[in-house]
Amino acid sequence: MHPKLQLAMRFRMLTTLFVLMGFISNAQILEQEPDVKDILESIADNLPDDYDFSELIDILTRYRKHPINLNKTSPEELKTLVFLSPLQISNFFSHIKESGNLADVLELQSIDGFDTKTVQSLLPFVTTSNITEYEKLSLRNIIHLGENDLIMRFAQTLQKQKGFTDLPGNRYLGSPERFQTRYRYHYSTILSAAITLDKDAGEKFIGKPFDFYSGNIALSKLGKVKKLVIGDYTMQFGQGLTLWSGFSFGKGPDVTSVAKKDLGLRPYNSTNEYSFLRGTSATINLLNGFDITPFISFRKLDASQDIGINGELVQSTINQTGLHRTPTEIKNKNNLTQQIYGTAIQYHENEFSVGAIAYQSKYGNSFITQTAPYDKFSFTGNSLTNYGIYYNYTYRNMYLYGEGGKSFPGGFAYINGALISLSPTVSAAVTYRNYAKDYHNFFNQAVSESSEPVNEKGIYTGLNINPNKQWAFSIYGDYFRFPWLKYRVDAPSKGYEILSQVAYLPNKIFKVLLRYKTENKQQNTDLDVPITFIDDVKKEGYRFECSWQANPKWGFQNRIEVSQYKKGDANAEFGYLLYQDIDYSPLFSKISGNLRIAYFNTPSYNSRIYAYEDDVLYSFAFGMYSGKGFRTYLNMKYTLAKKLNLWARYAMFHYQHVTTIGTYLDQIEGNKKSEVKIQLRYQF
Amino acid sequence: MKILCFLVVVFLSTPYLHAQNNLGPRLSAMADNGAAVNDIWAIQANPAGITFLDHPAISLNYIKHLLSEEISSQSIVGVIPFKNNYVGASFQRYGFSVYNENKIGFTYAKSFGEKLSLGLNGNYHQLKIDHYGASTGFSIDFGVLYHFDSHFSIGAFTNNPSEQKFNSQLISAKIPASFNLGASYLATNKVLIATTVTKIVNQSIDVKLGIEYKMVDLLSLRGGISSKPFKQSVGFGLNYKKFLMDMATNYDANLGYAPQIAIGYAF
Repeated sequence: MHPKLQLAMRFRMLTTLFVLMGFISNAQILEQEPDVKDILESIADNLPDDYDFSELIDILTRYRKHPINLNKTSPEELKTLVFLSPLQISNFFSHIKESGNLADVLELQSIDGFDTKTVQSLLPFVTTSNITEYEKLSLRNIIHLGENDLIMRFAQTLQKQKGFTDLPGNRYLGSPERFQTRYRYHYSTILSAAITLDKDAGEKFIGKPFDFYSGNIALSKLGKVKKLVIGDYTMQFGQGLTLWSGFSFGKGPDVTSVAKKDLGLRPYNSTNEYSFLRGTSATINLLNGFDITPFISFRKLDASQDIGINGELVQSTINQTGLHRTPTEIKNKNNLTQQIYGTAIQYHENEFSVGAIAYQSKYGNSFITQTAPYDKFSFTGNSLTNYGIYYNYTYRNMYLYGEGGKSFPGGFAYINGALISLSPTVSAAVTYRNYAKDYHNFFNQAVSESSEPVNEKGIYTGLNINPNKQWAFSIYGDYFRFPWLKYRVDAPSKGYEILSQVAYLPNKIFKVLLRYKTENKQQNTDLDVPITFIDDVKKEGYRFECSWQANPKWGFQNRIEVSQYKKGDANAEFGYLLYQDIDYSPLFSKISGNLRIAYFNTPSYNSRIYAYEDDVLYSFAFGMYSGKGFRTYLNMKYTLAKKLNLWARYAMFHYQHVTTIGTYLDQIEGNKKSEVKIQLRYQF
Repeated sequence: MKILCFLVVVFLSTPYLHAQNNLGPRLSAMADNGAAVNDIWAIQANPAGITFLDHPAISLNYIKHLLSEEISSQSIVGVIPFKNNYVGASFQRYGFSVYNENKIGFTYAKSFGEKLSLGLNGNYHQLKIDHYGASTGFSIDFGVLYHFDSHFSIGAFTNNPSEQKFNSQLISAKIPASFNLGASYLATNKVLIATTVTKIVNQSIDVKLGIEYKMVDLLSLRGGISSKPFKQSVGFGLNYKKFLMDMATNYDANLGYAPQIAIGYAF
């Protein structure tokens, strides 16, 4: 045989083998859930307590099942992958433009800014093979090729909380169970529908079984109509300064996460009862590169209201918790109407995109300021108009981005930044932000130190260094100033934050991580003095973590975290957390699960420590470890049938040297707090 | 008034002198990262860092401390190489009309092959305060720099390890003593990342991180942060034939901006 031919044949055999192996491994991971723990912990330092990230997992789970075809993808699609930076996305498309379609997923490694870690994270969700997409919208297809996903969840705290006892006055009127049900329908990527029902613990079945109802129908890729949502939706544009509903990532160990990736209009799929719009919206392609997204929303919000000077009802804030448990909470439910209409226009051409947003919100009752001086510049009245302009532009190895927003009434806010890929192993981020103290916006989620992005100036610089496969360094520094007073800060104040992290991965099964974070802010002194002054509040955190996969079945993770808190001249507080995680997930087995045993000891709430906790699918949170005691949880997943899965979770806090846990209505007699959760998922 | 404030800051917060040696705008822009970076201004930090020079070189620096109209620093450094031996001199002045700190240093450095180099400084300090008089002091700096390969280097240096003081009874100021350990990583020919851990006696440990990015041969951009006290710094450098011009500023939350400029020439 001719040597060349022989080589070609050998090559073909090898390829066939690889493809086959690929199929087998694909089949294996098909049923697995994406490992979001690693992904989330590398992006966010700690996330809000009870935020629903189901959409984020939903997206990743769907991509695992239907991987993104890299040769047919769009920037919008790649933006939904949380771990990709805007610069990487931009580099990806310039690579495709220059070198044509990818022959293999591993070719990603040759693209600037795609380090091994990124490629590893990306692999489960992408493909280069041309899976024939069923794109025709017909009733037959909708019925036969649609995918249905039904999840029911039950959760309850086992100990009786004070609010559930027979108190006079304020107490929880409902039962202590929490019920959630979500139904999703998907037909390819062009039609989806969702229904979400939620009853929180303590909420009453008032005439209807659930307290919160949410749903939508969404269509996409219908010629000129790129997207259409009827029902509940979210809007995310630019850097989140003008219009961004729902959660967004900010400062985190991945320093590029300060540049937000906007997804525009999306159906709303979360159980969070505040952060969405209700009505209808569509993204329509006007001309080449021009998209317009008009939207309209009518909602009823919760607010505690007072009688104003002229006898009308007024409020100073909106309640965002979505909890309707006590007589007061029920009274405040849905008593403020909100009407929003507006439009966003976006122009996109190769490396450049720019957008403009304008919208008006009208409220049924007027907002008034509170008497506290720090609240002097907050929004008053019942009508608010917001304008904003945002852009991003990739010039060679630089991704420039920014947004400016103006509110009427009110002030101006802007943010500008750059992500720079200095070399294949080093990328840098720089961002400057300046938000006026009277910039009013109910949908502002821009990067900030304060919980609300107003009254703040700051400069953020960060560096990611991945010198080789084994090592990854990241560091950022953020300096911020608050020109006006804040809650518990009776003077203009300033501070800074530094985070640095080293990860060492000598091989695929072992990982060591070291993280150091320090934050210095100012707050009113605790001392009893005639004139309040502000003290420096210093927090430091040290984390050591190591995880290893002992064999395909068993995985282990350990963490030691130390936190330090010091206010003014008072003595420093030291707290610590130790935990051991054990993960059991054999291939092809019907049962899998994980376990945590933790011991924590923090002198007070000030030195509390947050850590990610595994949970049932689609539900997760960063647990708060405060006080002294043990924490343990056990998660189990059992595959009842091919399409029917059952999860169960038992979690417990066992505090030492306390007689009660929690405060006010959540107070529990004793030193144990435990929770059970059961979840059933049926895919059909 | 500002000057009074400044004096209060200088004398009440610490009995030490202006702790910072003037490292020139390149190293300053990288958060005063002088432990493991080759630069003519390393003469003021780790004197072993001057052993990269092939030709005699000289650089002049001016810093304006925006805290006050009057406070400024001026420095000049020069190095002459003789094969593996390097001889250098430095002079720096800091202060304003009624308060002056001067330092004159003489440097000897030697490289032992491609990898290792050592450097030694002898400094003569002078402090003059109107109506108080003048005082002088003497200190020694020592530094070592080791290049593992063309990408990764580590360095260590110490200023005044024997904690010499001024010889006057009237002015109870000390010459600061510091211990520094650093590393630098040349990611590509365009990107240099450097870090230094500094312990100045009686102050908390400071960690600094700096980066230099050579956009084009002519222009480099630099930035850095240091942790204690928290400072951010930026700067750029222009490199045209044998001339170098560098500008930088750092920002300290309490002391404000301190812009500086240096002009250098390599013969």
